[in-house]
Formats: sequence, C-alpha cells, structure tokens
Amino acid sequence: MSRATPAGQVEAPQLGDVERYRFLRSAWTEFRAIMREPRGALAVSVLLLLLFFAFIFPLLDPTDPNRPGDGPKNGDISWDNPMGTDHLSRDLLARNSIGLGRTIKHGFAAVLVGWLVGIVIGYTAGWKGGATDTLIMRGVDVLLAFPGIIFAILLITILGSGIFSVAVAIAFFNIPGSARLARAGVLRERERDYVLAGRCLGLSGARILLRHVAPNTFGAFTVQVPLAIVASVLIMAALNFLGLGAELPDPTLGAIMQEGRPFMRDAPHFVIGPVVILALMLTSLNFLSDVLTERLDPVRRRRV
Amino acid sequence: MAYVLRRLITQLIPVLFVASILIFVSVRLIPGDPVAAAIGDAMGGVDAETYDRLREELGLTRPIYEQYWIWIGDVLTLDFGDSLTGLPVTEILWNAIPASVELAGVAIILGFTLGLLLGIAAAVNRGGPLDWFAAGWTGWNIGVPSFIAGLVYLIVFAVWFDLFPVSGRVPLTEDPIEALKHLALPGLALGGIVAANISRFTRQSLLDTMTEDYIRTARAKGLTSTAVIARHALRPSMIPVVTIMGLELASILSGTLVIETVFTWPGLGRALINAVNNRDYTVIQATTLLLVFVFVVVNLLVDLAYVGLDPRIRIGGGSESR
Repeated sequence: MSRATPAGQVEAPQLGDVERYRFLRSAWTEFRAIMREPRGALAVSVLLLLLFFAFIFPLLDPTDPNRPGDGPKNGDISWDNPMGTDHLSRDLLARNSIGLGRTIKHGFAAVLVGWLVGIVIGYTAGWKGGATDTLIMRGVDVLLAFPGIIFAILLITILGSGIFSVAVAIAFFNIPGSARLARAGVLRERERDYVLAGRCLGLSGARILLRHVAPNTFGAFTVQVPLAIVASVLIMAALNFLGLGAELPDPTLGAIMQEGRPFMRDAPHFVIGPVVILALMLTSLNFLSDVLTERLDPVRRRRV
Repeated sequence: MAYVLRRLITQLIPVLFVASILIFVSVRLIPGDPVAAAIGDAMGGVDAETYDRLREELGLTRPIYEQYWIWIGDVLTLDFGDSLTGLPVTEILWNAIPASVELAGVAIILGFTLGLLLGIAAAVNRGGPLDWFAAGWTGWNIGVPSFIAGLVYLIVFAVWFDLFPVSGRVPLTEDPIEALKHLALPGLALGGIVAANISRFTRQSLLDTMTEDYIRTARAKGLTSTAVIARHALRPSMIPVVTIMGLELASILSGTLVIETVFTWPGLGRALINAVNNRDYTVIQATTLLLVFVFVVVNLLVDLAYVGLDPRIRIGGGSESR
C-alpha cells in the first residue's frame, strides 16, 4: 500500500525503484517480526526442519527409497528403519523424505505457475476493463462454480494420471482466486493520481501497470499465498491418496498413505508417518498465514 | 421470482452447459479411441471392416457437435449408457447415491448441531474450559484436512481402541446400530471441519451481538443470562452463521469424494475414483456431471436462502463488482 499523499501533490513516477528496495527491506523487517511471535517462530522452525528433511536428509542418507530392503515387510519402528518399513520392506524414512520433497517441489511449482497465470489474467481484466473484463471474469466464475476436486479429476482423466497431471490440476485450481485478487488490486489502484501522472508523462500503459501499479497490489498476495499453498498441498495429497498421481515406484506423501491404508490394522506406522508430516506442514503454514494476517490487519489483532 | 429466473439464466444454465461440454470433450480428448478401448486387447483380431462398423454404431463418424447433441439428449433422459463392466451407468449411480446421501446427511447433522452447540458454549463460557476446547477443536480441524483427520480417527478409534469398524457400510434400513457404527468415523471426519467453522462463526457472532444496546436493556430489566441469550441474542446472531452453513454444504460435497476412499465407503466418490482408475469413461462422465449438477444447484439454493434473509442482495445484484 502506498502512503497517503497531501492533496494535489503528485507522487514521483520513479517511485517504482524506491518501492522495490523498500519491499525487500520491509520483507526482512516482516520476517523478524514473525520470528518474535511464538506461533510464527514455531511455524518457521517446523517448516525449516521439514525442508531439511525433504532436501538435505536424502543427501546424507544413502538408503534407496525404492529398493526393497532385507528387513521384514511392514516392519515396525527399529534402529535400522526409524519409521518402519512398508509392504515391500522398503525403508519408510527414506520414502517419506523423498515423498515430502516431491510433494513440496510439485506443489510449489504448481502454485507458482497457477498464480502467475492468474495474476496475468487478473491484471489484463482489471486494466483493460469493459468487454475483456466481463468475458474473462465470466470464465473465472464458471471455473469457480466447479468443485475444485472434480475439475482436477477431469483434467487428470484427460492428461492421464501422474504427478505432472496433478501439478497441472493444482495450477488450474489456483487461477480463479489469484485472478480475482489481482483484478481487485488493479481496479483499486487504476484510478489513483500517480497513474494519471504516469499517463501525462507519456508512459506506456504496460509500463505503468507493471512498474507502478503492480507493486502496490502485492500486499494482498502475502496473506493469500500461504493459504493457497495450504489448499494446494492438501488437494495434491488428496489426489495422490486417490491414486491419481501415481508414478510407481516414486513416492509422494499421499501415495504412501494410499499404499499404507490396507495395512492400517497391522502396521499403523505405515500411515502415521506421512499423516504426521503432512499435518505438521499444513498446520505450520496455517500458523504462518495467521500471523501474517494479524500483522496486516490491526483490527483483528486487537479483537482476538 | 424474477431473481430466481435471472440466476437460473445467468449462472445455473451456463455453468451446467460449460460443464457438460467440458466433460464431453474431456473424454474425447483422451488418447486412444473409444472403439479400441471398448474392445481392449482383442483389437488385433478386429479387421478394418468391423472396426469401421463399430465406429459407425458408436456414432463416432458423425461431426463432434452432433455427437454432443445426441449425448446431451441421452443425458437429459437419464440414459448414461453402459459401463465397461457391462452394467448400465444409471444402475451404478442408483447404487452409490444412497450411500453418499447417508454420509453427507450424517456429516451435515453432526457438523451443524455440534458446531452450534460448541459455538454457543464457547461464547457463553468465554475464556473458560469449553472455550478452550472449542478453540482446540477448531484449530485441529482447520489445520488438518478432513481426509487426514479421517485417517487419524481410524488409527485411534478403530485400530487402537477398536471401537469402530475400519471400513465399509451397512445400510441404515438393515441394521441401524451397525450402520451408525460404520457411519460414525467418516461422519466425524467430514462433519468435524463443518462443526469447527460453524462454531467459530457462532461464537464470534454471538459475542458481537452481546455488545448491542438491546442486550444491555434486556439485562437491565432483570432477565437471567440464559433468557437473554436464548430469547434475545441467539436469533440475530444466526444470520452470518446461516451463510457459513451454506458454504459448508458445498465443502461437504467435495469432501465426500476423498473421505469415501479413506473409509472405502461405496458412494459416488468411490464410484468416480474406481472409474478413473479403470478408465471407465461413461461412468466418469455421468458421475462428474451429476456431482457438478448437485454442487451448482446447492450453491443456487444457498444464494436464494440469502435473499430470503437479506433483501438488499436482490436489489444490488446487477451492479456488484465481482
């Protein structure tokens, strides 16, 4: 959000540069403020641990997650297999680690792509206005009217099951929300004085939009992105659990749960592992977005 | 009435139309053609003439819009064709619908009553143990998605304590006690998050209402706090809660899809996932279309309910910025 300017004074058009550095600096201030809140610090620490488990741990642990071991099938927690083994006596610690990594990688890539597409769509609709706007937003409405998971299942039916199809479905799932948010931001900023000033200076529409208007719409995204990641990871795990993202033998968290479901009675550790990891990840992301929301919304900070 | 018509024309019908096109086209877009899929491995033995005849019979030689027209006509007369298993799709649907309705019904009842009671209790007992319990319940259910919660309930209540069966369904009409036992865990998993959301809004709304002047008046004239809450505070607090209830209906619908797989519940979600895994396209078409239809209709009904509650929506409809 840009500062309120005294009436009649036109904000300088080179504001974009200043805003950008300020954005970086405020990001750092924001991070330190999050770490000062107990919930924020907890969330960030858990997320860092999970990142370590997903990406550094496989480098340290030589166990092949896909190679059946010599140990027992559905083996219980032991020194050799700290999370037990699965029905093919593969090491569940290694499988959960790789599975978490794959879930994070594809989930984040999908959210990123979905948001980029959504933001471009939203900016176009908001900036052009008129018939373009109506047409685009009608399309977004139809997309929103679909239950997300059914749309995802349809897409996966077309593309064939696999982790890539799941990622594409997740990207689609993120488009309507981000498009609406971006459009709302542009609509709010479009009528402001600095846009008029830019026009008077003869700047092209694209330049005003990208360099001056866009940075002012980012604030709203910081709260919504963690929530979008939560929702996306969740849908992703659900789709993998349903067996739609299967690319055997490579694991994802959802796929491990699916494999473990039939052995629930005899080997509950099989399912508990991925459930705990996923629950930790989602809860931390929720905490993080709560802390962000409360920081950005002083009214709510006071009330609860 | 005019509002209902306008909603039908501007939203329900376009969405269903686009959905039907999407569903129809999606199945055509799948690599490989339906004839090959239908004959399966026997393909090698089929000569070109039979192949062409089969294509002709399935109507695949006609232009695509004509195929769509025929398909949609069949759908409107509830003829969804045959599944790969040889059963008519309608039969598969008829077998699955009661199970899904039962599960969704239990989740709605459980979620709404539990949510309201918990929300009221938390508001009345603000800062007390019940409030903390409600906050914990909300935190758990919002942090953890319903299908994970379902798996956790399975591990705790079905495996460790052995109180409930791990999977399956017994129809309510056959053995009500057994049926409820089978319904308890999936119902809790689905209804839990509903209860969490509703209790949160009930609590907040009730607390907001309690600061109104007329509540102070009621207190001042000497009513007991039970009477103040039951007779004066509760009703006006319910308007935002009803809104949330509507939204929750839609979330239960998509929730059943996954929960049914967790509990191997033989409903529509299970039928859909089985069909996707078996590449049984007629069943996929029918189930997704049915689910989208129910979803859109429920959303419409919810919107209509708002109009009943708040007449301002009816007037503002045209110029709202969406």
